[in-house]
Amino acid sequence: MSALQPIRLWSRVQGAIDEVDAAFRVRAFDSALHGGETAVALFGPAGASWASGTESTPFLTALLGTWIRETSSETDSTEGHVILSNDPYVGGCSLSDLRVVTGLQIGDHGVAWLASSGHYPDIGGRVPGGVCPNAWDISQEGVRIPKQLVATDFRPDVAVVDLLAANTRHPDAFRGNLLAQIAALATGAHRLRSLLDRCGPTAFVEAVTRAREESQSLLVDALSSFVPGTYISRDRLDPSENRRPFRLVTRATVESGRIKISFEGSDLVPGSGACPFSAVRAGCEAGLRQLLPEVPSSADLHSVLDLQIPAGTFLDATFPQAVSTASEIAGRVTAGMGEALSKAVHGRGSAADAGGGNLIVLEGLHQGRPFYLRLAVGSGGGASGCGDGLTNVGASPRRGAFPSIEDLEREYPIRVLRYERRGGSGGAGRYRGGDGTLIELRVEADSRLTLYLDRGERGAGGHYRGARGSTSSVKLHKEGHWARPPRKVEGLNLKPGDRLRLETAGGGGYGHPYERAIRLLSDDLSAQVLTRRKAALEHGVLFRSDEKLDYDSAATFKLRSYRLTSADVEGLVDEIEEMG
Amino acid sequence: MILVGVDIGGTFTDLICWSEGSLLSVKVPSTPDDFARGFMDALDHLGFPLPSIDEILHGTTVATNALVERKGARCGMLTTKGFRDVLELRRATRRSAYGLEPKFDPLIPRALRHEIDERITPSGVEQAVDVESVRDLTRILRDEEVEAIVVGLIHSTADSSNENLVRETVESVWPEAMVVCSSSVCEADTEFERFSTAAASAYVGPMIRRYLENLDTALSSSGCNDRLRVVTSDGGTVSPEVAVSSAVKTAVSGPAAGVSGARHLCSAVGRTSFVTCDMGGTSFDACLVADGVPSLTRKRSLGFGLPIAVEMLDITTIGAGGGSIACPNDAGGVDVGPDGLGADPGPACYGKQTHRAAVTDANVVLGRLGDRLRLPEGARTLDPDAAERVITERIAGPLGIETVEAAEAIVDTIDEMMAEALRTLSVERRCPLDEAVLVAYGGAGPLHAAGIAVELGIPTILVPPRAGLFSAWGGLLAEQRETRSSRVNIPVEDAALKEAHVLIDQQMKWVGTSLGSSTSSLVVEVEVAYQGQMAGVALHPPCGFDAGTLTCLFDRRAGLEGLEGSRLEIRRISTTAIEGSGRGAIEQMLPPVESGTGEPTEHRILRSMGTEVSCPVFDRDVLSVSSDTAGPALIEEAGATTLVPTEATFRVDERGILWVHLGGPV
Repeated sequence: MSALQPIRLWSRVQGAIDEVDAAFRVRAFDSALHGGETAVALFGPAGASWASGTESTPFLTALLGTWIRETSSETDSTEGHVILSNDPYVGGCSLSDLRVVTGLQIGDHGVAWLASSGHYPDIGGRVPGGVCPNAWDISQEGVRIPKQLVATDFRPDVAVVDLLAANTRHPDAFRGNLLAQIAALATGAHRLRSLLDRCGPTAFVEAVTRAREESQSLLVDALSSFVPGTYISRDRLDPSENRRPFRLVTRATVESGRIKISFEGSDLVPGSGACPFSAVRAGCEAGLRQLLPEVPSSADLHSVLDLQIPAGTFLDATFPQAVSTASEIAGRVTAGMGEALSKAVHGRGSAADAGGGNLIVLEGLHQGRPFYLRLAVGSGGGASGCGDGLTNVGASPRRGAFPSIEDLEREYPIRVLRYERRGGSGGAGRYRGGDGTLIELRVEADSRLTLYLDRGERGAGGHYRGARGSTSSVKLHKEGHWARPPRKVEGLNLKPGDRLRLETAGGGGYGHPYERAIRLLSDDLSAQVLTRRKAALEHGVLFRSDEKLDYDSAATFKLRSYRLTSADVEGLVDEIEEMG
Repeated sequence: MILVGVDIGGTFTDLICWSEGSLLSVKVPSTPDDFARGFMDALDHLGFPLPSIDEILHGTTVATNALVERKGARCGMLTTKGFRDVLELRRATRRSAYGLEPKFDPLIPRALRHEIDERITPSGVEQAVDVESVRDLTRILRDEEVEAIVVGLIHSTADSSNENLVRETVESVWPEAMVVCSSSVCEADTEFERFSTAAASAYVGPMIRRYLENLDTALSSSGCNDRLRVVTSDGGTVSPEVAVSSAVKTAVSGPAAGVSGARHLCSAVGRTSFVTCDMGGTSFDACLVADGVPSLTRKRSLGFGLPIAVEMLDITTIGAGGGSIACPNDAGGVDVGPDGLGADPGPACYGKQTHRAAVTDANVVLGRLGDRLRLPEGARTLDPDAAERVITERIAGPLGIETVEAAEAIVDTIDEMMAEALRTLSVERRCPLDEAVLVAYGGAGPLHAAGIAVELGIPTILVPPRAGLFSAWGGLLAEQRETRSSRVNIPVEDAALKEAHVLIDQQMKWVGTSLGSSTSSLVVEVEVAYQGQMAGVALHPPCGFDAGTLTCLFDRRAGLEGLEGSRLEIRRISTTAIEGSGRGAIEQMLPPVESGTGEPTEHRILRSMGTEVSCPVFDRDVLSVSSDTAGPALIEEAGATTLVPTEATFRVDERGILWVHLGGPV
């Protein structure tokens, strides 16, 4: 046999895995699932990661890993039996993440697990869309599904599917999504089975093992470039009603090729908005993953991470704690990991995406029929060595597509007054963070408003001396004047004519802002995303006018030679805070 | 009658000339600095007076190249107040799940996008256009030296009067301006896709205009006026004037001509389910057809954040061709593409470079290509030693394997990439491959077809005559087409379908009128999905279809187990009128071939890991008609070589079509 045979076989396995994502997305009944909020992965008998979808959402992929490792030993491994769960406390995140798995007998080598996951738009509960900012226990958030057999020989058990669907707001969409997810899993399993039958289990195991070893060795190589030490990032999560902001301190210690993570210094008070341990772990993996673009997704990142989380904190949710905001918390863990570790290695990865939830939910009656509108507005993407961050990306760690303004106005009683780039909101840097988004809506019918917004306390961190992005802000225009509503709130009553304006946060910058090319700054000025004052304060370039490249070179030289930016000052303040 | 089809690809410019029942072909290198030069070179090679040509059908990649390489015109935009950044905000998408995101620049920079006071709602104009500000902004854009202005207003498809008024106002201030209104380029899509399409059209318009004007001048000076027709992305043809005014419609016209040729070919041999594999020097273009009619799509993107919402044949392109560069990867395997070497310098065996290995070099090392590449206007000498050297030094050495093994890895990798692309396409389009034949063409398609077909379990390959220049040939059969498309939401229930039929009647009238009296056939395409499902499948039901027929067609392609009997709905209806080209039927374009001796011209050693097989090499022109021959075999013709593997058989039919039967599904 050719020495290259295992590589070819593995690429076929990868193809089969990718097909599961493609098949699920194309059949989905929801724009987020259709747009990419899915993941698929194949695991070996002991839960070792064998392969995962190239287009899978990294956070959901990591989450599948934690689920399989926690539960596979007690799971029905009959091939074609599809097991479903969304239990957050057992290897999950929030109720919205539905995971399915089936066993795959690999000859005498044991059982492999093919699993897929999708972030569903609605799973019942008191707020459409599943995020309940003020819930205090999980019963308010939707239907919890412990491990449940939903298909035998890949034939769905329609009664079970219907029972679950009946407890959501859109039973048809839920049913369609789940059946699509099962059908997609079947597609992948059949293809893997035919590959296995063709090449035999031993060659199959050899191929995946070899690919895994390659990935692991790339992982080890990559980690060897990290300078040993302890690195810290500090973040603050916006408070829920009547609470203080949470401090989230991520400490990453790099030592002999491993990374120890602790959250010492964080406000570890239990309260509404907790995150299961598995989701924290997946968030850490996703953060490390951002810094290792060359490491294939089959590498087991969890194998180099040691997590220390004190029990009973908001990073270790247990029944019946509310978890519907867990994915935002996990996203902030991802950003914190990336920011902390960026100090250990030069030039890798990208600065933090702003994330921030940015959820607007409207519900009410319109022309005698109930309507539910769930909008997740984009925010700024982190900058990287490749250039400025993307403006308006789906809130990290999620993906998905924003609906068209024209469709929104056609289908819901709202009017969109502005939908714009929020110029200058990205963090300064050699490459600027992506800008956030400004959206202003006017409601045209009596509605109830739920908001879940974060990044109001502290902007997304920059990398390699890049500055933080701007924080987000929200305003509500009622009865003739603007006011600031709570950022995490359920059930505000709105009247026709009331307006909501949300400005989402910007992404983190990359590299020292004084290294930004003057040509790029000149473009920023003419695009009206930066003012001359900001160009001087943040980037040390003194423009005389908005004309192209009209700047004072002597003054610029003087300014830039100090190389002290607002990011540096902020860093100093952080250190002082840290000392006591 | 003399007809000429010209297809300009990334590597070669192909020309096919049909003259009273016989076909001539020419293949010359493309000239990316000025494609018109390669075009005229190819015509010069024909060797007869140009004025005698009746019609030239031209597929071009000028628009695609301009968009992909970002070398189009400087454009300005006028849009509704509050929505200046629609092009930039996209649909809040990312390029990939993880990894680095390069910066995104919309086609029109922010500084050149201006807002005007006006507002349209779903029910019509709510606020009139502030005409004075439009005048001022036009002057500003003129001073900024833009070459074209896009007018894109929110809800302009509900009422286009504001866009028209803005256009008239711009033209009153600046009569020479090229103005593109979003509602006229794209009548059935929402703001982002519509503005993006209009921006792309404005962006490539001036360039297409210059290119076609140059071509027209060159043709006119050779006494060949008014003969040119441009192939469009839906496989139809338009006059050069129309090609300029809706430039983006020519974006993938070359591959579209190939697919439309394949459709004619498959209908002539009675196959309705087929896969086209068009592999040239630079790219691999594929299209899946389930029911004899290639589907149209409005969802194609020519890059991140650059959707083009006009009717195009649903063709998928990946960077895989004979010139694709191979290099060893960290995992001990080989990566191939997407970067390629084009015609110049080309693979190492062309003798112009020695440091990068391409797929063609691997084919030479394996004996699948000999030491000369037959081209229509003569042979190109290949240097097998250079190929062997580059594969040894660049691939085999670093990987610590033998040269033959490295060459085989390159070929297997690219075959698998193409097969994987088709497999994904089959999943995404819900178009099964079980009953399909594979139609292989392009310079490298027939050589790699067997590898792809084995991988996919497709038992039959069809290689058309002049396979290396098939897209140019397809252009000869391209018809004039007119399509009308509407987004709808009609339940698939007999009572509700009346509305669909009324709409189809209206569309038929519209397309019939705009095409004139010569409409020879009509195709109705409906996109059907479960109620609430995001993506539908394109179906081609018979005229006057009822709910039962549609449901049956849908279930066969895209039914989900557990959803039997669930409500379906129609999302889009398009009607296409096709005017017979008047250039003769497929039978004429495939003149009967004479049976030859069927004797091989030589034997060549086909190498693979551990084995060497002596393989007969046939000249396609002297194959014996209608007799089955067992593989292995290499069948050479000008511009392409077909590989028949050991366990397969082949025969050529009386029309010259080569059928390769693999040993059944693998």
